[in-house]
Amino acid sequence: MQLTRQQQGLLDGDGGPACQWAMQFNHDLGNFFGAEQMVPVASAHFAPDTGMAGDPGKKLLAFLESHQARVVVPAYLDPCSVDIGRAAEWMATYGVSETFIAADRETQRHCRALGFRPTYTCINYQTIEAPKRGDHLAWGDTGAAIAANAMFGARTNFEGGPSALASALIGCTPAYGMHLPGNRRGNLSVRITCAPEEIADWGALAAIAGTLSVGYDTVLVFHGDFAPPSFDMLKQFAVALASYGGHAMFHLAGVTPEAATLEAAFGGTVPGEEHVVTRQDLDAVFERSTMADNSVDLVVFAAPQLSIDEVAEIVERLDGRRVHGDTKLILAIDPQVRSLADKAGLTERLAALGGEFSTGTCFYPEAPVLRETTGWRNLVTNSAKLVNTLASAGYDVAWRRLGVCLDAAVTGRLES
Amino acid sequence: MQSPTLSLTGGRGMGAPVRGPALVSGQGFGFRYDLDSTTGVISNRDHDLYGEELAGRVLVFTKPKGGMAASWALASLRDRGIAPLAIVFREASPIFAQGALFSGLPIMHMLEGDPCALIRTGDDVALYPTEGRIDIFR
Repeated sequence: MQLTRQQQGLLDGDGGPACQWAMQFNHDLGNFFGAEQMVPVASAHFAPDTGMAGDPGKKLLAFLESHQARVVVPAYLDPCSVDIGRAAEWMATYGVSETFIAADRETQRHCRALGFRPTYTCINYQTIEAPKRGDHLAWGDTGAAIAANAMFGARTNFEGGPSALASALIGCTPAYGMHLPGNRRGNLSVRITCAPEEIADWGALAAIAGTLSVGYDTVLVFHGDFAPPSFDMLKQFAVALASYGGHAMFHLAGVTPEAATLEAAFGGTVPGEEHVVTRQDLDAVFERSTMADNSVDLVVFAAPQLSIDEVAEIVERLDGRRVHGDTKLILAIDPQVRSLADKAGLTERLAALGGEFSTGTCFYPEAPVLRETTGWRNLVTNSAKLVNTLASAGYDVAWRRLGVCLDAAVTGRLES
Repeated sequence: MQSPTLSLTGGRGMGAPVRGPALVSGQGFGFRYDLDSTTGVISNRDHDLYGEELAGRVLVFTKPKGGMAASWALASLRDRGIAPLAIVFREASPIFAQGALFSGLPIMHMLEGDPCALIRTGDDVALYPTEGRIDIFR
């Protein structure tokens, strides 16, 4: 790989041990993927993931802090593992250990010391700052990364914890994968005839299409006759494609920025062969998703965190109906949306109906722990990604459209 | 010296040479989706390796699945003594490459010949990541 003099200097240790670690990491990674150079990044998005990172993650952060490392580009943090604002309750009610909460706090403290902004969001493109078309980024959360690529025309690979951290400290990342225009062009055609109308529909479409061809090199091009999705529908769609397909890019003809036309989306010739997703396919996704019995322990809206508009819609559509006494209604949001919800009176209205926010975190990272201590089993959601991430966590999950989810929250039963 | 039954070549890899028993899947793999990270046992009931332990084995999967978790999880498994010996994909993803690099565990992909078809569970396999070669002994 060709390095600039400054990059070579960092690799040789001129910037100290922290920058040397970062440059060595990105250099080795670039070589594995055959990258020819580094590209400067406009921002970084880092998932420290206390639970998954364990001691090696903790040691890395402590090492970097001890060498006075600082981020050199705007750098945002992915959600925490727990809702720190409700730590006492998470310990008492949900059985999350004090040790783990202390570890998560320590992770966040390290990150702030390194200069990361305490955004605790997986939707930074919606609540912090939208990326600019053509910008190279080092974004960690796979949902945020695919959104940046497909919805905004920015360029990022899935940067896991260590590499997003490295890129934030040296301001550059190896040019492979989604940084290269040739890898961003469509290579599989999907015709939409299923008339997706809401978040659950777009998520189900992504789940079906994502599994047609799993892999980082698959770039689906969607086209056909459909009503333009809202931003939140597109957000769910993107996140679900990353989750089910491992995809980092897609095109929605006439909607996303690198797909003004079908030809543009494919970078030339449109393939003759196409997959078709019908309304029956879509309905079958929900029909197949059943629980052993129909009592509902939890209704969860998460993965990705909700926008203020989604929160408002849920509260409005509850329309004064109270959540059932044996059922929990949880909405995962970031601190930015929380602040808006507080000001808009939505926090108070949700609490009055028996629902709750999980703020600055998501639901699934601690889901296995929560299930063991609370005995929760039956969960209803409209989120495709949540369904997928809970597959290994021991829940019985019913995937439904929003109206059915809300009815389940109110009656404590899944009726359809 | 015993000569290999079969060799796969032409791959790309990172990490030190390693030899051990193979655990082969016909499916993809993701940490959050398929594994109980506390035990290192595959816990997704829909996975063809459900119930299998990763520790001490050379894992062979079709494609990586899922998100960020893999970038940290390999190092954490290694730290707790329950890591696989190495991981082989038909084609790796950035996240798994990053996770392997951070953990120091060998990773290989892009071999000529399908590792999921040509390697069998229980085969004794020797990986030479930087040479891009896997020797299979059975």
